[in-house]
Amino acid sequence: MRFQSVIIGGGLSGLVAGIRLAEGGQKVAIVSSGQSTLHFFSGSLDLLGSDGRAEILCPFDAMSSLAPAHPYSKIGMSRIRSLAGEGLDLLNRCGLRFIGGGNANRYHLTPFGVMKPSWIAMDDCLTFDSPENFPYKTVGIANICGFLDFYPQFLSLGLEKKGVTCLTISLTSPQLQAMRKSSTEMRAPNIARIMSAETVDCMARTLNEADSEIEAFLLPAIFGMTDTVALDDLRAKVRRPVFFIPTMPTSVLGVRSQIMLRSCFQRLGGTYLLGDNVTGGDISDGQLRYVTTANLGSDRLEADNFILASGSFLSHGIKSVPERIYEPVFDLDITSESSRSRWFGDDFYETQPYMDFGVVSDKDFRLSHSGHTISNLYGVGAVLEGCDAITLGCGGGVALLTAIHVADTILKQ
Amino acid sequence: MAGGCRKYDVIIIGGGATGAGTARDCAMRGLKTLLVERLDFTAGATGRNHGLLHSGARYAVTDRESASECISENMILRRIARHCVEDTGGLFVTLPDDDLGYQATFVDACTKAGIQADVIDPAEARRLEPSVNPEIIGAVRVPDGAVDPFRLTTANIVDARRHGADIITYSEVIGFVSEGTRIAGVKVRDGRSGTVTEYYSELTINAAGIWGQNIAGMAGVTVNMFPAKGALLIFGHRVNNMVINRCRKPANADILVPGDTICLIGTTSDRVGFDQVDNMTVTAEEVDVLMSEGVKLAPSLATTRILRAYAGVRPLVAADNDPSGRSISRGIVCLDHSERDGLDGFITITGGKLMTYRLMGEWATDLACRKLGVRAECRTAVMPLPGSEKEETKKRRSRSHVIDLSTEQRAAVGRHGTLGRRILDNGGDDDAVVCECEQVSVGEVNYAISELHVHNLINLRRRTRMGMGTCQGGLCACRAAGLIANANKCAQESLDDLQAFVNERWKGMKPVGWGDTLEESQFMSWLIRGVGGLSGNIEVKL
Repeated sequence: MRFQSVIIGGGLSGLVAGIRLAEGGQKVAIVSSGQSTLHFFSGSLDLLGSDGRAEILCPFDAMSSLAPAHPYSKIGMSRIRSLAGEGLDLLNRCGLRFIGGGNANRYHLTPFGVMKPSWIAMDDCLTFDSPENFPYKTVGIANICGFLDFYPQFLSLGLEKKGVTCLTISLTSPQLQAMRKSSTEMRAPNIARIMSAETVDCMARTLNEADSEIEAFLLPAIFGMTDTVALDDLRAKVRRPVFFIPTMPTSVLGVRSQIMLRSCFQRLGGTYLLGDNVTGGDISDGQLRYVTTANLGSDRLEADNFILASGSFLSHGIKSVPERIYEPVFDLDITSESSRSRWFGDDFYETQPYMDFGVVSDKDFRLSHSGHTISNLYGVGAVLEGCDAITLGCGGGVALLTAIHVADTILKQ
Repeated sequence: MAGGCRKYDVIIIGGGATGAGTARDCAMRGLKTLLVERLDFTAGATGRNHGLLHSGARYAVTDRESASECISENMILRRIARHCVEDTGGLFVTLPDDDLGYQATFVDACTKAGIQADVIDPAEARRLEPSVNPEIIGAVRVPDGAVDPFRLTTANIVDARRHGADIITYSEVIGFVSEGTRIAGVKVRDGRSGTVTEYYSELTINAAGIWGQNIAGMAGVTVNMFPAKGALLIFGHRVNNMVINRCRKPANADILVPGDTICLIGTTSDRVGFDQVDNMTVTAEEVDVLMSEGVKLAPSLATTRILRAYAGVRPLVAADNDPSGRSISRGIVCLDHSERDGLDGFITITGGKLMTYRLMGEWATDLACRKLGVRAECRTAVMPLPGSEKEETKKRRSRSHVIDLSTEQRAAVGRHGTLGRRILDNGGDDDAVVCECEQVSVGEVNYAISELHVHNLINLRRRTRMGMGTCQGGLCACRAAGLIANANKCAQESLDDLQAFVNERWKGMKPVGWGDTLEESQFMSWLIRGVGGLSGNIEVKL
């Protein structure tokens, strides 16, 4: 099978690159194992949230002090701002409804009630410009009876520290009560799947009857798995603002984002090979000729250009054995430490060196093997070296911006 | 807990298996008993070993007395602690590099110690235990098994309480109340509030394991302990169903024990300084030794996921006239400090092994009763522990409409024995699963919070296995933190506890941080630090 571009990995960076290339008229295939870090997406996407010591207010201003190996440094400051705007537009063209995107980070509430900076957020979420400036004095925190992956106690704790009064409310419906009979059924995607109009009605009634002091409601993000129907329905029926707080995985916001991006890609004519894994490829004369996959057997995927969007360790884009860290598909050049003891920090919450490990790339994100650049293989997203997404709060932005940047490089050829 | 009365017959210092077993024995013999634990039950060596129900075979050649004690206690625990014990059987295998001649010496020593040891054909051994190295040239079958030290200690605590004992955790003995040459009580500092309370007793029993050296020092007497660190690795599933031992003189990494959903290999043995006993870490070298030796017992360990590495400190006792520790006994040491040092009202019970915890309790209680002039027989060897009582034969519900217990219900009964029934009776809402890896339900968590001295997630892990499975405490820890917050009404404390718990799990994952374990760690980081925005800042200290 021949495509103009083949993308390895169907997470945020792979899908965005695929959409951008397809919009540019290319014939594109994405090989996706199925799951990605999108499945625990919080609904808020960060660009740069911290310099490793303190929170950052204006991500664009702070980028100039990043290390040269960081993907933003390679893209270059002159390009970053417009790329970010194009990224936001692309997500919204796919129907994701992100808001924000100004010069300054905004804050959102994490499942533990922490106020954390991010750049843009899905309109399900509540964002505010400063932790000292929470928009409501009294909120109602409403959980579903028996749902264990949402913590009203911790949300109240975080909000009350900022002087917000929190009242808790229990929501249920006959359908949800029936669901509780199975001991593992009350998980976010399962609840989202059965969120019928009757259940939404039931919940809206309870919320409308809640204490009149409440100015807004905070609910777990369990509405709208494949679209925003249930979410919009609830908001229309409740007479006060309703916002959704991310739950512990699997994230309904993430599943919805993934499904919408994938549909968009397929509508544009893209080929999405779901549940497949790239097993290897042929690199000769500095070019990747084709890749093979587990499902296609002897059928090869040939392309002019390839994009590696396979993610970091947790997505199996990077792997490790006691002796070394490696890139499992092509054994590409990688930055890492040879001694295992230098992969880690002692404290879970300190910077972990291994998070910086990834594939080596040149300034155009071309990857290399045994020191030789492969002219038609690019890396995007978390598989890249030099971006500790957790410490710097840059995972979403790196995925989005490198994907568009690389797609544009390919389209310009 | 202790109410208004702070006067006891005996005060026991230490909440390991020995302290708990001694408390049970004292309380059963009618002594008014208080147990004081600095941290949590099983926080020391009790919770950091193989979980091997020794047949004694391992010591048969080198230490006949220990071997005889082991087999005798082995048979007792099978009766009194059924829900803590699994009769897996054990093999002592000879590898091509080992001397097959040792087998005869070994079997002979076992026989003399009263341990049944049957030489079997290596092919039969491979059939019984398919994971064993197929190259073995000899095999002996012995009555080894697995014992859950957490469950065992908890059951002893529950029974001590039932017999009237008071138990306080997170309470550290910081000094003694002296009356001339007699210890008349202990000064205890509450770990949470910092307040110091005096408790008085006729007799104080030091059962603090390796920490007993400091306790004795505070009392003004000398007990020389010899801290010997032993490191172990836990694997993600049960590779073996029988205990596999190497048939040679005890050495590094020569026992592979199955236990619950996992198996573990150990140990190493190295002397460490006293400054390290509160902060044991496993080195890369120790991991490498355990792995290279472990795969010789069961080759598939090479490709099995390692969940974590941990280390304990054996409370070995150096002889009185030998502070350098050259002549070390692994037997039980029961010291009457009145006779030995002229200090009245103070006993030390130490040495020994997890296997002999009950016997240690019996010795200490025998001595206590003699000193207090109490005539009462020890019944701990015949009375089953709570959870291990014989089930009534009568069916609880008519069979026609009973669908078999669900996985999490069966897991709860497995963990708590007959006490698990109390969790089942609480009704449907409590069935919701908190920990998928180990099938811990809301009901079991709430039972542990209300009945088993659970204040934090580490306590909960030790009582229920929550967070001990393949994910090492990800989503389940968050869910359980929410449940604990509901119970203790302090969200800040639970949130801090969650952050500390994740860090504690990381400490054990880091030494084996490659492959699946590294991937799991990164997932945890994304979840806790990324999505959760937690930074490890602890505001309330427990």
